[in-house]
Amino acid sequence: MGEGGKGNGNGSAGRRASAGPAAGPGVDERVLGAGTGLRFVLLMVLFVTSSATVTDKVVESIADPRNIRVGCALAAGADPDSDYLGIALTTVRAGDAYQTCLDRFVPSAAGWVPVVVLGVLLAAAGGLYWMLPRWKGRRGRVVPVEGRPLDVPDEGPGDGRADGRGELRAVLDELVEVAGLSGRPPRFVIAPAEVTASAVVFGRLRRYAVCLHGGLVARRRQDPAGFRAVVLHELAHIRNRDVDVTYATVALWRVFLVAVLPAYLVWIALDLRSSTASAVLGPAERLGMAHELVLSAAMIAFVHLARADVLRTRETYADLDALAWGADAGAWRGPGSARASGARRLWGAFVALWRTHPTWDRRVASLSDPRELFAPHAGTLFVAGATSTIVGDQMADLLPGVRQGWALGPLTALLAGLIAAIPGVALWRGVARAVLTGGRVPSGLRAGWWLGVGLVVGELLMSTTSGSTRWLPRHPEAFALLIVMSVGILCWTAQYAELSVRSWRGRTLRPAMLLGLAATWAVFALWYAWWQSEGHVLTMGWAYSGTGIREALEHDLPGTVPGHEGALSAIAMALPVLLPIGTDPMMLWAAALLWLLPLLGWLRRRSSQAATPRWVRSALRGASGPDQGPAVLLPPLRRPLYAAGTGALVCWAGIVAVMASMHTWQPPVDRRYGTYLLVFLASVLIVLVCGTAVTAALTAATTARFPLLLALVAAGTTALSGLAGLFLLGSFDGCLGPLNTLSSTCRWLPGGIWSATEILLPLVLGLGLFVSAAAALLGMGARRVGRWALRRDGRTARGPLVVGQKVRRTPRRPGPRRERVVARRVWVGVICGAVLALNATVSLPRGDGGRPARASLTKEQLVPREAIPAASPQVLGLQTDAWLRLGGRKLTGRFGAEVLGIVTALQDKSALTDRGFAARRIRPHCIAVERVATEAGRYLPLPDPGAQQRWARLQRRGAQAGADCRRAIAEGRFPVFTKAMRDFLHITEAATELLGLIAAQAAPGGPPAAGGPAQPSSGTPNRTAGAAGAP
Amino acid sequence: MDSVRGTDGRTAGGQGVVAGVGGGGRGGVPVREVVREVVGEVAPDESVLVDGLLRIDDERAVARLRGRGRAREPLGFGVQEVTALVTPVVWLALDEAARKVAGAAVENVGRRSKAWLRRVARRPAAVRVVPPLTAEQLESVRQRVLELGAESGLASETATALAERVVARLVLPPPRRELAQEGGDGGSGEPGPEA
Repeated sequence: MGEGGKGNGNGSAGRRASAGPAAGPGVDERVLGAGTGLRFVLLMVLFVTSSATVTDKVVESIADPRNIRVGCALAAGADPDSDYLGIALTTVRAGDAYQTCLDRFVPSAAGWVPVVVLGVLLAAAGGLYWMLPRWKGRRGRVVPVEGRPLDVPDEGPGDGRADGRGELRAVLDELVEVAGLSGRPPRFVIAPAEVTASAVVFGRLRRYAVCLHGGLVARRRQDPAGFRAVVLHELAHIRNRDVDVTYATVALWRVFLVAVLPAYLVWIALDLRSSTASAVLGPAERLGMAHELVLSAAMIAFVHLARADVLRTRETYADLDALAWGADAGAWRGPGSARASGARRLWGAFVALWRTHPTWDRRVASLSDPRELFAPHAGTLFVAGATSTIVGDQMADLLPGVRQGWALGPLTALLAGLIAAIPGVALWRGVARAVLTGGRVPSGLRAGWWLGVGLVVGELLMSTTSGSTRWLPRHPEAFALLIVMSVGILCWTAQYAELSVRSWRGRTLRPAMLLGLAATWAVFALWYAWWQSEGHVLTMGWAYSGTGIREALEHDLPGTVPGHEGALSAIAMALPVLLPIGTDPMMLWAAALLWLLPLLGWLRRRSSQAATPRWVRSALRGASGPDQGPAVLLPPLRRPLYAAGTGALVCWAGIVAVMASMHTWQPPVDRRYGTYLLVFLASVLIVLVCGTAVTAALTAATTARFPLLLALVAAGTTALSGLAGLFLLGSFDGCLGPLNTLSSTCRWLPGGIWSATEILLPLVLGLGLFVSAAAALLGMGARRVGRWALRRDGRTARGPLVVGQKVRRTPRRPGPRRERVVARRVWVGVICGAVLALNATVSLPRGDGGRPARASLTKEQLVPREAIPAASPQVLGLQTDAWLRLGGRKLTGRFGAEVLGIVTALQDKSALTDRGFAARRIRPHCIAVERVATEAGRYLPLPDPGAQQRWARLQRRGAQAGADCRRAIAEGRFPVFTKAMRDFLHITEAATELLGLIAAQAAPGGPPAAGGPAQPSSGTPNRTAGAAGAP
Repeated sequence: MDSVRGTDGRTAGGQGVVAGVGGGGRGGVPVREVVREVVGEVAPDESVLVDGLLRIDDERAVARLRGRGRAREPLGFGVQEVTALVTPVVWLALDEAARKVAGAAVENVGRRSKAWLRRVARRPAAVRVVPPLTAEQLESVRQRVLELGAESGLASETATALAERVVARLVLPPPRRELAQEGGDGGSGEPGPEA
C-alpha cells in the first residue's frame, strides 16, 4: 500500500491549495510516493521469517529429540565454552567430515514439513484476514445505514423530528462522491453503543465498511463540520488503500501471537528444563536461551513500534486528504493538553511512539505544514535497521548450506534493497521538499547514523556475533564498519538526490529517484552481502591464520627474498580480507556508479533562466517556488579535477619512489615474479589507495556543496590517472635506470605490466574508492568541526550573528560559456569511457590460463590455532564421548579388530611359511586395515590434539603396513611381508594404548555425560537433551 | 427473526416474550419503549442509535451500552472525545429499576452463563418490563438518571429534564397519538427482539 492514492494527489491538489491553511509553498506530500509501502513490506517479511524460524526450530527439535546435531559439533571439537568464532572454525576445520556426520546421524524432518506448517500458518492468517471484517461488522454490534429508515416512516415532513437515516444516507452519499469512491462505495454501518465521536474503517480486498460511532452520529447536526471531517478521513483511508495492508498485518500478528509465540515459548521452556541436565553445557545453554528471550521481546516491541509508526504516517495522509476534500480544519481539535513537566513530556513522547495516531498537536500542525511526512525519523530508521538485521540473520539460518544456498544470495540482495530503500525514499522525499521550499537539505548523516545503530542493535540481539558464552561480541568495535557503511551510503544518497533533483527536468521526479535508489541498492547490497557472509566475523575476531597463509605463500611463490618477512606477514594478514572483495567485479561496477553517476549531472548545459521543470510545477501545485528554486547552478567541476591532478602527481611520485626502493634489492630475473612482485604490487596498491583517499578527504574538507560526490569524482579520477601512470612507467621498465624493477632490458613491454595493472584495477578503482569514500566522510566531519569552531569564535567575538551561512548561499555567477560546456562534456566522456572499458575488460571471464596455480593452503593451515582454545577436561570428555558414539567407536573398533585378526592369524604355524594361508587368512585383513585407515582419515579428527596425532600416526602406519602386506603376498616378497607383520604387532600395542587413552578422556572422573550445545549454524546452544546418541 | 419485528419495534411474535424479568403484564411497560419515546423527545438525534439498539434484545443492548470499549482501533479517526448521550443513561437506569423491582439486581455467574448460552443458541432474551412503580421507586429511578447523567457528562439541566421526562412517562400513559396508532395492533406493546 502506501503508494496508493496516487491518483488523488493531483486531483486534490488544487482544492487543498485553496482550502488548506496557507503556510509557505505547500509541496504535494506524494511527490515521491508516500514512503510507507516498503516499511509495511518489511513488517510482513519479518512475520514470515520469524514464523518460519520458530517452525523450523520446533520441527527440528521434534525430529532430533536427542540433539545429535550438537553431538556432531562436539565430536568435531566444538567447545561450548568458546565463542561463536571458535565453534564455527572447528566445524570449518572438520570440513566434509562434519557434514557427513550430520547427514549420517542427524534425523531430519522431511523438507516439506516446515513448509507445510508455514503454509498452514499463512492460511490461518488469510482466514483471519477474511473473517475479521465479518466479526467487526457482525449484527448485534453494528447496524447498517442502508435500507428503509426504521424510525416512524409515516411521520409527515412537517414533523420537526429528524428522519434519521434518510438524511444521514444523503450526507454520506455526498461525501463518498467527494472522496471519489462512487464507483465502489463502501458500506456504512453504525455502532450505536459507541459513545465516542469517531468512526473506523474495516473490510477486506475492495469490500470496505465505514463504522460510524454512536457518539458521532448523535452529534452530526450540532457539529456537521466535525462529522464531515471524520467521515472524509475514513474515506481517505479507503482511497489510500490502507485497509487491506493494515488488516493483513493485524491478521499475521494475531496468528503469530496465538500460534507461533506460544510454541516458541514452550520450546524455550523445554530447553531450559533440559539445560539443568548437564553441568558443563547448562550455563551456555541458559545464556543462549536468555538471548533468545531478549530477542523475542525486542522483536515484539519492534513490530509494535514499526506498525504504529507506519499507521501514524497513514493517519496524517488521511487527514490531509480529508482537508483537501473540503473538511474543515477546525474539526481537528484534540483535548487541550496542559503544559507538562519535563519528565511527563518525556513519558508522553515515549507513549506516543506506541500509538497508532499522532498526538493532536502534531496532527493539527501537520494540516498546515506536513513537514513530518518528509523527515526521515530516527525511530523509523532505527527500527527498520534492527528488524531487517533480524530478518537477514533468520534468512541465513533458514537457508544454510549448499543445497539452499543459491537462494540466499538473491534474497539477501532483495533484503538489502529493502533496507536501503526505506531510508533512501525518506531522504529523497526530504531532499525534494527542501529543494522546493528552499529549506535545509538533509545531509544523510543522521539517517545513516540511525540506520546503522539499528543494524548494530539487530546484530547484537541475534547472538550470532557473540556466541553462547557472552552477551557482547569480543570485538564490538568492528560494528563501526556497519555504521560507516550506512552513513556513507545515505550521505551519498542525499547528495546525489539533491544533485538529481536540482537538475531533473522531466514530468515526474520518480525516474530520477528510481535511478538513484538503484545505485544505492547496488552499493548497499554488495556491502551488506559482504557483512553477512564475512564482515560480521570481524566482531568475533580474526578468522584467518596469518602464519599459515605466510607459510603457504613462502611455499608457493618462487624466489623468497630474505629480509622482507615483515612485508610478507602484513600481506598474509591482508590477503584473506582483500582477495574476496577485491577481486569481485561487482565491486568495480558499484564503485563506478558512485562517481560516474553524479559526474553525468555536469553533462547538461544549464542556465538559471531556464523554465521551471514540469515536475516542480505539479509538485508545488502551481504555486511559485523559492527564489533559488531547483535550478541552482552546480558547483564547477574544476576544483575536483585540479585536486585529482594533484593527487595523480602524488601517486606517480609514490610509484617512482616504490620502484626506486624496489630497485635497491632487485633479485635475479628468474626470482622477480614471486615474493618480489607481490611486495611491489602491495606497495603500489598502498600508494595508489592512500593517494586517492587523501585526495578525497581534502576535496571533501574544502568543498561546501556535494562534498562526498565531488570527493569521489576527484578520487576516481586520481585512481584512474594513478593506474595510467603505473602502466606507463611499467611499460618502460628496463629503460628507467635506477627505477628498473621487474625488467632489466629496455623494451616497450605493455603486456607484462598490464597483467599487474589488471590485478590492481579492482582493488584501486573498486575497493580503493570505498576507502576514499570513508576518507571523504572524515573530511566532511573535519569541515563541520572546523566551521563549528569558527562560528563559536565568531560568536564570542561579534555576538550571535552567523556569517558563514550567508556567504555560502550567495547565487553563483551566471551560466557557463558554451565552450566550457563542450570541454566539460569531453572530460566527462573520456573519464566515463575509460572506466567502463577498463571495468568491462576486468569483468570479462578469462580462461584458466590467467588464474594462479593451485595454492597449497589447507583448511588446517588457514584456521588460526589461537581462536580454538584448549577444551577443559569435562568438555573434552563430552567431545570424545560424542566422537566415539558418532562413528569413532566403530572406526577404532574395526581398526582394532582387523589388526587383531592379523595378529591372531600370525599365531598359526603356517602364517610365515604358507603363502596360500597368508593370501587366504591375512590378506583380507590387510586390505581391510588399509580401507579403515582411509575412512578414518576422512572422518572427524579426535578432539584432543595429542590423541589425534597418535591416531593419525596409527592410520598412516596401518595403511602403509596394509599396503605392504597386500603387495608382499601378491608379489611373494617375504622380507616386506615380515616387516609388515612386525609393524602390525607394534600397531596392536599402540592401538591398545590409544584406545585406553580415549576411554579415559571420554570419562573424566565418571560416567560420560550426554548432551551438548554449540549448534554450529547459529552459535546458540540448542537443547541439552541427550546428544550424541549414536545408533 | 425479521418477521417478528414490526414497525415501530412493536411486535407480538409467537415467542412468548411477555413477562420479562420484572413480571410485567400487570400494566407494566417495556423498557425499550420508554427509551424510544423519551429519547425521541429529548434527543431526537439519537433516534438512529435507538433504532439500532432496538434490533437486538435487551440483554445485549444493555451489555453494549454498559461496556464501552475504548480500544484504539487502527484506521479510526482517533478521537477519544465522548459524546454525552442520553440513550445509555435512560436505558441503563430503567433496566436497573426493572431488575431491582424483580429482585434480580445482582448479576450472578449462573445468570451470565445462561445469557451466554442463549446468545450462542441465538435465542432471544425476554423483553425487560418496568412494572408500575411506587413513589419511592420512581424517586430512585429519578436519582439514578441524574447520577448516570452526571457520570456521562450530561449538563445538569439536561439531566434533570431527562429524569423528569422518564418519571413522567413511567407514571403517565403514552401520548394519545401513539395510542391511537397502536389500537390497530392490539398488542401488548412489547417489541420483538431480534435473534
